[in-house]
Amino acid sequence: MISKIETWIFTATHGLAQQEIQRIKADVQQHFADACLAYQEKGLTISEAEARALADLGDAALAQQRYRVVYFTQDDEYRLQKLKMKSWWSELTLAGYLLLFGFVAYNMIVQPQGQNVSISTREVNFWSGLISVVWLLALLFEVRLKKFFAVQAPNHQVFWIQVLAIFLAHPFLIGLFSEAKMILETPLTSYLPFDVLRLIFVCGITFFSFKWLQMQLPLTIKAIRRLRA
Amino acid sequence: MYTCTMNLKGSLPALILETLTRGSSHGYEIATVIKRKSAGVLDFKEGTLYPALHTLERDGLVESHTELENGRTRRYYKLTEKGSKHLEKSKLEWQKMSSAISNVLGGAT
Repeated sequence: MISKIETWIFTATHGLAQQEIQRIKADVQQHFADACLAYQEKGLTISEAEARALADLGDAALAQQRYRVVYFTQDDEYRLQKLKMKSWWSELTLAGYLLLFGFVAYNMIVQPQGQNVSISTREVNFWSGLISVVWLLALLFEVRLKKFFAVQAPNHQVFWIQVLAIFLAHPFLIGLFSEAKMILETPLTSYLPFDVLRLIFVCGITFFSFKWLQMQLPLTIKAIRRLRA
Repeated sequence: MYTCTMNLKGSLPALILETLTRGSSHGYEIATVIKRKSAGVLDFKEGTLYPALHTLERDGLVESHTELENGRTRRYYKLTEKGSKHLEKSKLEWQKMSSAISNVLGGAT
């Protein structure tokens, strides 16, 4: 039979990471046993003592709200695991930038000069600039998050190479964007294999940037909520 | 009797640290001491004590160890050096705040 305290703990810790549940469970069970004993010493029956001790713990659902702010949930644990994985998102970004250099360098050498590109330079500058800033912020966030959650010491060499790559790649992003727009404006039937490859590359960079932010944003929110708790 | 439902964000961590200045203690004892010392005025749900305690531990302000007592494993919490310094700072802040509020409520010019 499941006791009332077990039900309380189950409700209060629902959705939390297993490690956190074990810790809370041990403390709360010990606390509950102490409280029951104290009430019994005051002359209460076992059931009365248990009821009072349980009431002292408060509402389990309210406790759960508090616990979810302070402790890691199963989702947080999953994201932290991802963050621990030698930050392969960061290294992928770095690899992406290196590829970008390669593509642009290739195009500069191979593509004929004087192509008529009907794209607003201001528009291209804005988007490439925005992506660079977002990337840089994401990178800084990752380092802060790792420090905050003490996941691992940030690898400074990789970090500074990434920052340098973002700054160096910024003007080249303009080239990539104008190419991406041209490819998108080209009818599918006249696609060259190399255009398809470039399109996949642009989509890939966008996808991985999104994944990177998707992992970091919830952890950032968690960090802020913890600080405010 | 008047009771004050405390905001964990505010005073509870400092109260826990102050309780631990007497030596290591377990969760139930900490809760009991706070309630007894405040004559029951500072009332809080004991289930919310542990997030505060664990946060203090995570921040290095307290440390814990387990002991076997009457066949039961008990977790004891102890104030650290960093915790003592933090407590002194919290006390000073509280005294400033308390004296400012007293001045306003007491009508000091």
